[in-house]
Amino acid sequence: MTDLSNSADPTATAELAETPPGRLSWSRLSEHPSLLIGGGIVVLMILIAIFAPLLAPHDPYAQDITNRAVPPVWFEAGSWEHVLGTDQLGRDYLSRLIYGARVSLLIGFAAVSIASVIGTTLGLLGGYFGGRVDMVVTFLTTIRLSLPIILVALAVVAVFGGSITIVVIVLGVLKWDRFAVVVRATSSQVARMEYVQSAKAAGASNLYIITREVLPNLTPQLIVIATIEIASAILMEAALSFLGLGVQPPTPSWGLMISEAKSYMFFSFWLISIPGIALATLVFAINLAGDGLRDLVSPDGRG
Amino acid sequence: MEPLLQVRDLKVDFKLRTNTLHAVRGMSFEVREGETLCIVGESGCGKSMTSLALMDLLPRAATRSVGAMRFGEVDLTDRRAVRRVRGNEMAMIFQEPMTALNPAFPIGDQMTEAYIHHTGATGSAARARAVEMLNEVGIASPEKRLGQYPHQLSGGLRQRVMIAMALMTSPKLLIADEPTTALDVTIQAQILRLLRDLQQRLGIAIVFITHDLGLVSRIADRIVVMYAGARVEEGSAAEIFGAPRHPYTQALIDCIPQPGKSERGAPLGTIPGVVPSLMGDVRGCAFRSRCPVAQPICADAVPLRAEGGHVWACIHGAEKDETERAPA
Amino acid sequence: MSQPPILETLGLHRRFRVSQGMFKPKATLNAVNGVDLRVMRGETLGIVGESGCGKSTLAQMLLNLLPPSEGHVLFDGHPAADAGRAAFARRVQPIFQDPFSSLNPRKTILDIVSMPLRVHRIGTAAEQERTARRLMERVGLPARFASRYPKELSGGQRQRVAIARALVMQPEVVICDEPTSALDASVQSQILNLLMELKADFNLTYVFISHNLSVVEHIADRVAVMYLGRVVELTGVDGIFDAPQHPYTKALLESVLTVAPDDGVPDLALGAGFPDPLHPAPGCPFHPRCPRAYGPCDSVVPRPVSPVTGGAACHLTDPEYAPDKERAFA
Repeated sequence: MTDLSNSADPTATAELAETPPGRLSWSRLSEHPSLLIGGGIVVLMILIAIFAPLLAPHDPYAQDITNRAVPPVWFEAGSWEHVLGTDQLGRDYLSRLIYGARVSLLIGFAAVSIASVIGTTLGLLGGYFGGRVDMVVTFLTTIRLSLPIILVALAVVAVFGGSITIVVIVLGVLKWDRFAVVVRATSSQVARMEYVQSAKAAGASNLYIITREVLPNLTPQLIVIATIEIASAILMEAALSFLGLGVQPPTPSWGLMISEAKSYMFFSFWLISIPGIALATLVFAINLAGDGLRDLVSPDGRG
Repeated sequence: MEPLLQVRDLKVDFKLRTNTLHAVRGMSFEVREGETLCIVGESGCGKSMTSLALMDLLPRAATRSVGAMRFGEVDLTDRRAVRRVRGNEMAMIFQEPMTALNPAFPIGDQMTEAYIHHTGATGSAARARAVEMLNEVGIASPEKRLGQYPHQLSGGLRQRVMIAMALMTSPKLLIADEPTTALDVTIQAQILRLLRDLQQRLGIAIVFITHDLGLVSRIADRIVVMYAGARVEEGSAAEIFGAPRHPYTQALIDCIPQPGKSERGAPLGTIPGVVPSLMGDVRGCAFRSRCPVAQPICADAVPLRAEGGHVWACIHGAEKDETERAPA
Repeated sequence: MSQPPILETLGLHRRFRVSQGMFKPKATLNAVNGVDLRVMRGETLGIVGESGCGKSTLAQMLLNLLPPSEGHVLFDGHPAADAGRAAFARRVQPIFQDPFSSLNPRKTILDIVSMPLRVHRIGTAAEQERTARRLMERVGLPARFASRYPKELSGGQRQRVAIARALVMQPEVVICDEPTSALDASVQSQILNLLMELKADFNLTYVFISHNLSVVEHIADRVAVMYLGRVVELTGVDGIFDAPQHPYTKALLESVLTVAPDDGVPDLALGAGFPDPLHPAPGCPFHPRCPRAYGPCDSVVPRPVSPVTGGAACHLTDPEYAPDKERAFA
């Protein structure tokens, strides 16, 4: 569980936030309502994940056989004791939902951090140097695109067994293709700019030019892909857990909760709809925030 | 004689979130049949917006208001009427033919399309006309060219095709927006000669929009100098370059290096300061903040002075000695 | 000419492989085709030519940014290729044409101007900032611009930033590649004046590349005219403008539209055939357009221009072929 508590400060958010696009200010922020709303929801969920032990009313693992499948409070049979009801094993559903946010966010951000590092590095190398280097990068990308993620995950889980670490590694190592493709295209454009020529003519090393002149100009693209990929990684975790290939029970994960609830969806439909709504809201908010951030950090201040 | 094109008090505004940008502030000019009118000014002075406003091709964010705008008998403030004459009696050529021509179609198709639309000619008649026009602009083996795509032509050739395309419908007026700026100087000279020959033979009036003063001096019958969205001076080439009355015109001429006239290596004339913002209310003479002879009254309305066809918008220049006393 | 040149090119060639379409073989483009030039300390060497003449490729090679296919660039007598990017950069700096793509949109003006100092770790951060601010002031940029971003500046101001960046390490040679082509006339004159002042103040040597002859005439001491990758004429600025030798130079000069209301548009008598750099004509590459082409022009390549004595690469001025000249015009 120790790795879970770290999920609150995912490296990927730090990466998104630390790219100052010129000047950030409240007046500029307020011009981007989608960022305010989306970002607000994401931040709220992150806070919930961090403070899960304080917020959760019950132990998410504690079973109470006498209180199984209690409906949420707004139904007649519900009670304030279990605001969102309990599942088939009598575990408090709100508490499981709160702890489940940790799994979703951790996997989403951690997997995309790994993927973004791999994809951005490859894309930068291919785009900046071109020629043979570019051919290698394109070849690697093609290989990666021909690997079906779910099947690879299936094989890996069959060998190593399912766990959060395995899911993060599998997704991180497999989801870098979009980063590589977009970064390669953009950086080959930037590499032809006269300011890159000027830096070369000033004697700057390739490493200096790539990190200081090219990379900062990729921020808008990186943000867009990162948000798309985080959202998709979260969904993929849910899918893997649903198929029994991801997070293993009894760890609470939204995908697993949906999976566990599917047998009861005609009797206790809230069991499947509550984690479903949570998942949809998070993915929607991340995409919304990504759109807003991209507008905010473009140098021409579009939007 | 009634002028071919008459524009009075043309204004083009861009409404922004908090303010209004006045891109063109009350332009008035006339073009007579068969003459070349040059509109000259630096980037952002509103010369291109003026030409687009004539053709009703302004960007969507722009609003146009105009006192009167007539092309012969046609009222150009009537959008339907504009559509009838645009690409027909009034044609336009642009700076970059590569973007004005559609890369996906052979030039023959593009040349005949508007002609068929406006005249109802058959396809074979239109192609015959296209061959005739390509001949007219000096393109060898025109039949072969009709099947070629824009990227297969050089820059100078593409501009010739653009001109041939504009001539398809026998226009009376050709609006040319920096048509030679993207070309090499030797090609530019050839295109300019071509335009002049065509004008003499076909009697077309040309509105030529450019930033290049030297070019203007060579081709213009009359010149309108624009600054910050307004006309500051208008006159013949001899008047504008021989005896410029507006301080901006004078300063602009002094800025360009002139082989044989300006001393090699000596500092060139400059215009201090920057073009004022055209946001919100622009009052008085827009050039006064950079003008060497500005007076306090320049902040008020600018008088329009005239001497025959030579018009300028400045308090100075009415009598020669007044200008000389002014810098005190 | 007793003093050695500061920058010299020896038989410089640059070839590019150009794709002509999916199923056609790649063609070879001789962008720079045997250029010998000497840049003397303290002079301004103008290089003029139309698009595709190879002047920008030449600039890239003079800046050591592009390796020549053949030949050498010598700086102070030593091959530039051996100098290493950093060492060469301290002595030769560029100013490019496009003031919009030459500045990184994500950096402040101060960052941009001080970048070379940071790359070379010259001085402490505070010293770097002081040097950069001094240069900014020298090129006429107000101190308040230091924390601004390029998009907040006008074209002329951006070009001043590019000039400050080029001069911040006190180079000896500045390669100006069309530095005023994207600017309005009133801004161009300011930048030209500034370049002339800075040259005197910092004892600079300029290679000034432009398609605009009036500008080159104003600023250069010597001029090299390029056509399809070759230098076709090289002389002092007076020679080029007062007594041009090569027919192409003459055409180029005539096509400069100076303010002259009575002159009209010149008739260049050049063929309309646009030169195709992929398939240059045999013999003199200019002969298909040349109004004075005669006997040897379509078969014999003219003798290259000497980098020391100058002259024109034209059979008309070559004693070996000159006698034919009379016959051709008879």
